[in-house]
Amino acid sequence: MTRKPTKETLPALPGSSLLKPGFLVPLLAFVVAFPWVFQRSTFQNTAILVLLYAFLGQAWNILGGYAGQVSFGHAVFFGIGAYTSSLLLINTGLNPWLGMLVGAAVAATVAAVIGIPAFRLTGHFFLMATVGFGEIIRTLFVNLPEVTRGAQGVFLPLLESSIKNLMFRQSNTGYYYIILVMTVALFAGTAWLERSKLGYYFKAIKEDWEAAEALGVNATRYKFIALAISAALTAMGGTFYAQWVLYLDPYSTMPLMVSVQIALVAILGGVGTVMGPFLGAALLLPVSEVIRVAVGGGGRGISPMIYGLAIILISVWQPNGIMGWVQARERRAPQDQTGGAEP
Amino acid sequence: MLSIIDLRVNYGKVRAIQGASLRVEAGQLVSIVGSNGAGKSTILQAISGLVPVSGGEIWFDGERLDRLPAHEIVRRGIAHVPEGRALFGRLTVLENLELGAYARQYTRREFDRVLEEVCTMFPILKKRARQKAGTLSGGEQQMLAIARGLMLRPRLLMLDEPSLGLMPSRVSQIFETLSQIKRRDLTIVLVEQNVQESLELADYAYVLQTGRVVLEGPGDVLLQQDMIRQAYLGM
Repeated sequence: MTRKPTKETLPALPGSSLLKPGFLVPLLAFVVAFPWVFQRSTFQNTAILVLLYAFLGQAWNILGGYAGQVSFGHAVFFGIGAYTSSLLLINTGLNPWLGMLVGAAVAATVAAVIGIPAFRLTGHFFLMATVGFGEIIRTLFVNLPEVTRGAQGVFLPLLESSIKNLMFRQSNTGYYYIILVMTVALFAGTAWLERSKLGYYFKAIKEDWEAAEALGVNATRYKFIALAISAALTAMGGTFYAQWVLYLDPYSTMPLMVSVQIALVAILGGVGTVMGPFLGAALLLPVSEVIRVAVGGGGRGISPMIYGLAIILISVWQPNGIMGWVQARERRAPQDQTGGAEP
Repeated sequence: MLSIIDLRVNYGKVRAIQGASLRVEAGQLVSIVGSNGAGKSTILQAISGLVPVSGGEIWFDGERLDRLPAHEIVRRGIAHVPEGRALFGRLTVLENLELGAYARQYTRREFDRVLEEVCTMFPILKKRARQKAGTLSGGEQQMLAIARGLMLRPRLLMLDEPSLGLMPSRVSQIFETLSQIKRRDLTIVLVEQNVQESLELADYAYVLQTGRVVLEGPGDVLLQQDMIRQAYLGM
């Protein structure tokens, strides 16, 4: 099957202005120059967090935004990625990059197993099932100290600073550029996905899975594909996190709040859009970090309050997130396409 | 071509279809008429595999369908244009048409040819190709739904209430389109509440009441039946 009839036969495709060179080139120039312009570690840490959560939000977006299967259990895949590569590094000396791939494969496998019962459910029930699985697996990680070292956590060994070792002991710049490359690659991949056959199937299943089935799309199969891709990518983010923070425990790596935060950056920015997760992360993470720095450990409850407020504001004001607002503005701009109006 | 034998479909304790038997010969347009809740749409959904069958058999060209999943049934060449159109409103017209061709592994050339054929039948869709399906008018959406079904190059096209919710001028346009499709010798099963037009177009028709076939015969013959005239045509 083909997808692209000739340009002469069809009118031009409208696209978001945020995916055009006029926006993307200056943005890329800014993020590439960022570590030289802002050299304080606080800024660099925040920027790494923004990029990491943009990456994780985009991974979530593939399942929750494009395929419409909203999960609040992605911290599990994040934790699996972090633990798999770290334990392999400690126990076998496996290079973290290879550990990242193994972690992605393990997460995709676990996702497939979770998907078997969870995909029998839809909507809020599916969401609740992902929360349940998230808590079950986190509890297992706490209670299997022989494998995961339980609540005492895992300290990663210090390796020589290099890209090959995915470790930089003197500065954050190396980490920044690695997560930048990962994020740009994932966003480019998502832009491709959006226009690909696979992307259409995801979107069709999201809109009306029965109608998609009636057209011959095996909805269950594509839901599994979306879940596996999303889980594998989230696990890759987990490996990066482990190599950056150098310490893991189930309470800080796999809590429900991490799942909420991953989903929220995509929801705030705009689900099912390429740029949404970046916009969401760029807004949410700095606010969260500023509060953490300003108030310290005593303000630990403030971030969840902000997330709650963000959810309420999005629900009431703009359910399609920041991208919804951007797209509404673009629609108001003069366009040459017209639609019929009569019933 | 299509044979439904003693079909039973239950929704929990509700018996939606209670032993209906229907036949559709190749090249025929067969109408299923009946009031709301008679089970017309359920029969189409059972043929497409969208609702589980509780009893009976559905055969299509010698193959039993009622144990196959929906996505496999489409591959047999059965296109279902559901009630309410079930378009993907956030996808463009072209993307909707592409999804219609999903079950066929067309080459690029084949796809372009089928697309051209369909766009010749519905020229407005070519103009609207890059427009989101949700922004089309009701009549255009219905045309898109039918066109999406035709992208499959189906051997059997099933249409569920294609005129529902359309203004009268659009309704005649839809029936004119169905008449054109019929002239192409495509086998069609049409579910409609618009009984007069539906029976005029039909080679054969079934009247359904509470999940049972209560009357059947050629469309023009049924149009003369007192029961039809009183119950559905207000005569």
